[in-house]
Amino acid sequence: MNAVPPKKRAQSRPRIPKGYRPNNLGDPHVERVLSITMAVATEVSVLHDKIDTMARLSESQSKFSIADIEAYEPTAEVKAEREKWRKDYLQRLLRIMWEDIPDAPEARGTSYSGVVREVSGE
Amino acid sequence: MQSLALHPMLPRQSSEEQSRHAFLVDFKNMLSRDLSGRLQGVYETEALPEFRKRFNRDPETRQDVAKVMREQPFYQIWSALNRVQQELYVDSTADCVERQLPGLIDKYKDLKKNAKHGTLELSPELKIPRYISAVDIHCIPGGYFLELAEDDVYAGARYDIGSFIFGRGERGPLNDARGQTGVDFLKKNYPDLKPKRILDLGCASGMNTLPYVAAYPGAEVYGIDVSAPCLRYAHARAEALDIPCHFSQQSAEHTTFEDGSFDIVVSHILFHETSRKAVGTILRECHRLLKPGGVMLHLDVPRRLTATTPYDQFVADWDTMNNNEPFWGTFLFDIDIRKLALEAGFAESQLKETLANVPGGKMNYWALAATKAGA
Ligand SMILES: C[S@@+](CC[C@H](N)C(=O)[O-])C[C@H]1O[C@@H](n2cnc3c(N)ncnc32)[C@H](O)[C@@H]1O
Repeated sequence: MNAVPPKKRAQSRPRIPKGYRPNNLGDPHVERVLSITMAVATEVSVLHDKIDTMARLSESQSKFSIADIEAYEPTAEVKAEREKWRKDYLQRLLRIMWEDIPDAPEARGTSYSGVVREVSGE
Repeated sequence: MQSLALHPMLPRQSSEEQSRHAFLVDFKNMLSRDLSGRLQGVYETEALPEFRKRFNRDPETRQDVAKVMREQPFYQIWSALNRVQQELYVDSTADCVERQLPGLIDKYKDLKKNAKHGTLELSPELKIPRYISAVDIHCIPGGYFLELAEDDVYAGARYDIGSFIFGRGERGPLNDARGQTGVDFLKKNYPDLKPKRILDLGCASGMNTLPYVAAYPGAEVYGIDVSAPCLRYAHARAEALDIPCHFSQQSAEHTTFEDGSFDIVVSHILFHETSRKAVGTILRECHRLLKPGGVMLHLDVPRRLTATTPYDQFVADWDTMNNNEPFWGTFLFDIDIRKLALEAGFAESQLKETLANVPGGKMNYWALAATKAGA
């Protein structure tokens, strides 16, 4: 099946670095989920560019191939638009990092249970 | 970025890879530039008052700051995101190189066989220092030494493309801003040097070695490193660019060159990846290798001089515990490098520790320079 002699065939590489794995979030599962989330976010950005390429190709020609998509070279203007999109997208994606979000449910501000009692009273 | 003049050894990015890398670079910039103000805000409004309350004084060291910052939820998620970014970026650039590896290895073999003026000498017996092999430095699985196939160039190619993309073209089409900075610094500070032989320590893929060839016509330029895959790539890259350079696998701590055999010895971001002991040993080796009147110049990350407050030093130290850079914080903030240079034989009056500007750019590097006495 494989014509390449075993010695020459490239092995697959390790994908996890040897060394210390920090646990910033206190739970390794949460760190893994964060990694999965950001990998998905990255691919969304990749898809955005690809859809943008297809939309632009479709403006100039009625039929285009996978090779046309790969060969498409964005102009400086298109690059700038995409960069702007990425910045806005990152802003939306990391919204949680830009807002003041209290960690304890009732920290900073009015007591919510107090409000519940208040509006529930006669 | 792809449209810059590319040399034949540089791995090419598919359009998907270009998009992926562009996103991951912007992601990093959002964390380290855009969100740095918020991080500092958290320090000033939450962590600093907490420290004062607990210890009845102000923080004096980066370790002091760490005591209260590492507890801050904002810092925790910021730090976790930085680590995630690093791993995703490295993995994606590694994918890009791995899929092109057989072709790159063939190009290397071809360029080596037809080498016009440069040389490559590998020493498989060389002992790799612990400081560079105990962990995978800056989270690159396999580090500088991974060999996936015979005559592998993987690590060298990944280092070049990884840093090329990250520089977003700001490091020049040949990704050689550090070498250009070294040249510029030497020309300005030592205008009378007429070097015959120049040595670059820890040259990796050789990007920052080659600028010295063009800057000093007629001089022989040598690059050494402990990584064979990086040196193979460096050799092929130099040949592809038609720039004569001699690469060999040696440790900067003890080279095989003769006493007084170089007019200039340089290094670029080598020190922070070594150890306290090794920095001293390398400085002694520089002294031994230089001719009287010769000059050594070491460039490294600028924060050694620019991060002066305990808070800035804490932020700068992120890589030690989060990016597998075991010597990073100690190199940046704890070692007295002037003292090590004096112990190595350089004279106080000849020593310069300063910032060197990247020509034509806003960035700079930390620089340590000295002339060997006795010319
Ligand atoms: C961050 S890279 C810098 C590469 C290059 N100077 C540049 O500026 O692009 C550090 C390099 O130093 C090498 N290195 C570490 N310790 C060394 C030693 N004792 N002797 C020679 N090279 C060493 C590593 O293998 C790695 O390639």
